[in-house]
Amino acid sequence: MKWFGGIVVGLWALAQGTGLTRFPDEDRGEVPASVRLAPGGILMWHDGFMGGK
Amino acid sequence: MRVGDCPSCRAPVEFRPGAGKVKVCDYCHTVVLRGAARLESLGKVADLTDTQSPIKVGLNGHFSGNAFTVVGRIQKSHGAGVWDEWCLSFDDGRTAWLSESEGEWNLMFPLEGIGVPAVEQLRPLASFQLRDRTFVVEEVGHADTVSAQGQLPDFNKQHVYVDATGQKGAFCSLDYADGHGEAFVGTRVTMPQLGFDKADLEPTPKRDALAQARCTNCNGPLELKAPDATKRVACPYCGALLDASKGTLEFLQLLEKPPYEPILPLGAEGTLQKTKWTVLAFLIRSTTVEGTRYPWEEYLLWNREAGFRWLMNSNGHWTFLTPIAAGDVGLAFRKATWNAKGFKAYQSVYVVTDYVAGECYWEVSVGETAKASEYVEPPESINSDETESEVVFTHGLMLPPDEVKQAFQVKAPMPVPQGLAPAQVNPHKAKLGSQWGWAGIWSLVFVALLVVFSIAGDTREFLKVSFTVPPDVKSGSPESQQFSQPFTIDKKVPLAFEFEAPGIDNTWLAVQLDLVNEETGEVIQVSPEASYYSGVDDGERWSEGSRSASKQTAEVDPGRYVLRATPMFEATSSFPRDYLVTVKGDSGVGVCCPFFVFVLLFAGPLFTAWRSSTFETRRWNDAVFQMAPGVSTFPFAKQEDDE
Repeated sequence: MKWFGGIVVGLWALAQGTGLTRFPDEDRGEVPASVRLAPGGILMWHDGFMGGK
Repeated sequence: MRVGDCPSCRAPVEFRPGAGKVKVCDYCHTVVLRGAARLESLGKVADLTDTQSPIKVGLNGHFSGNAFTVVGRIQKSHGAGVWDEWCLSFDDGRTAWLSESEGEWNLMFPLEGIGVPAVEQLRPLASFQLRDRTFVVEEVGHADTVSAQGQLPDFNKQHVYVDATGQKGAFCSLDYADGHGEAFVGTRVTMPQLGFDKADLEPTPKRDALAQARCTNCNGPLELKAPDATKRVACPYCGALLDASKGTLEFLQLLEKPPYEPILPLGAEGTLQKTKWTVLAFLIRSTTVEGTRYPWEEYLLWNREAGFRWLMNSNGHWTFLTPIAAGDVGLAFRKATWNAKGFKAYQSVYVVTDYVAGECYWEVSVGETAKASEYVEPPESINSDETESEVVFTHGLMLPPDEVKQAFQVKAPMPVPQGLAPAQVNPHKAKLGSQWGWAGIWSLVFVALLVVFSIAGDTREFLKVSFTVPPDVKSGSPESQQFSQPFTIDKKVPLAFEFEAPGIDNTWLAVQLDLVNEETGEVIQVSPEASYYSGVDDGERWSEGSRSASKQTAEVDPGRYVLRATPMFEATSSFPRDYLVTVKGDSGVGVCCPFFVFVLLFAGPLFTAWRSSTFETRRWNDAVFQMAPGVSTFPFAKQEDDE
């Protein structure tokens, strides 16, 4: 227990410090340039995007 | 020195001043009482039995700075042996008695002017008080004065005696004779404490001869190791039980052959607990519980300075037993205390001596029974052996078999321990304290790290916006979409999206959230969903689901963002259409991971605690209490159904 507890806490600290404790569930992509550069910009974007999945 | 004539033989009888009013005539063994006017005869006593005592009448000594003279001696017998009690006359006028018991000397002074408890009330383990001191009865017996010598305070033929012990070595003997009782209180003493001149102590030639004695039955050499203290000898060759209490060997009975050779041979020497011991005797004793016989071995050990000890082998478990005074043991309901330590009652059974070989300091006989009780506090135990007239307490300490093997240089393999011993140390319990300790230490370290990470983490709220689903729009349609005001995230940080739909009931509402970086066009999309259902079934209200949900993202670049929300819902349902979205930093510590860390930290000690509990259950399942031979109760045993 002496070393096991240290290993558990150490691994957790390492994971916490490097973000490994997070479980992100987002998809990422981009708004098409044609929409972004058009009049109204992003606020006129009503479609989806194809990134992520 | 007052001188008179013996009423029987007319020989001169001298009385030492202040040393008692009774004198035994040196010539005819008449007991002479010094009356007010003349000397009276109280009858004759038998010739003295040679008990091989090193003390003799006339010796001078000193105790605690006070000089004394041995002025008299009586010999008592309870039918199975004779022992001496020596009368000492101190120069300061006090009278004391010195007696020998199992190789130890007791010096006792009379207590004057006190009431003595009625002998009918006293039996082994009974307690009584004398001048605010509590004594516990160890032995009650009858004795006859068979012989006497020298000058004595009084003289009685028949006695009932009660030997008791108090705390810290106090010893008490109550003597009942001629219708009244007297109390004598003192302590155990050693010969050096009595200040005798070694040159004056009598040699014991017959005892020395006994050391090289031969069995009167088979003529086998016995070579007694402790002839001074031995009262019974069991010949290892023919099994004859011999009486040695009178300085010579007398045949008593023929014992059965031993069922097997003892692990420690008679006469073997070994060092245990820093003392060199000689194996004097080997006994097999047993108890029968529920029709099953449970035997064990006992080895009597002896050391000239330290006295007697026992080494017990029960199913391969070895226990070293040291005699202790009953007065030092506190007994309560199913527990005992000794030396400021508590012991829990484990068993109380009726035991029988099945076999004996070697030399013993008591009048042992095969078939003798006793009630044996054991109180445990592993690895120690308090044990009592109780008969109608006597109780003996011992303190037990469990020893590893290898320690016994090495001590006595046993060449054969030692028996493998079977089952659990009553005072066996729970190996899991021993580890448990350390494991709980380390789990606690690492938990504190973990909590400290949690605090550090929480303080250092970014949980700022970047956006909190309320949306309303426009009326008459289709689920997930462009018409249902709404945008937040632009907002800024000033550093790279993971995000948490919290979604609340407080009005939903028996329906669901999901929302696709698109976080759009105005500068780069990057879209980060999460889709939380809330669903909440409730109702009443068979008169009972129920609910399931939640009106809120959350999603996490990996780190998001700093920049200016807009949030687009696209709600999705059941087409047929109508519900309050407001929902709330919060976007905030999420670089603190969550709940899930710390929970599992705590589980991991305490899994070890919890598992060990379970194993420790299982061990104790096995131990106490075997605890047995017999109210009478053959009548057993198992108060701690768990039934199969309980499991």
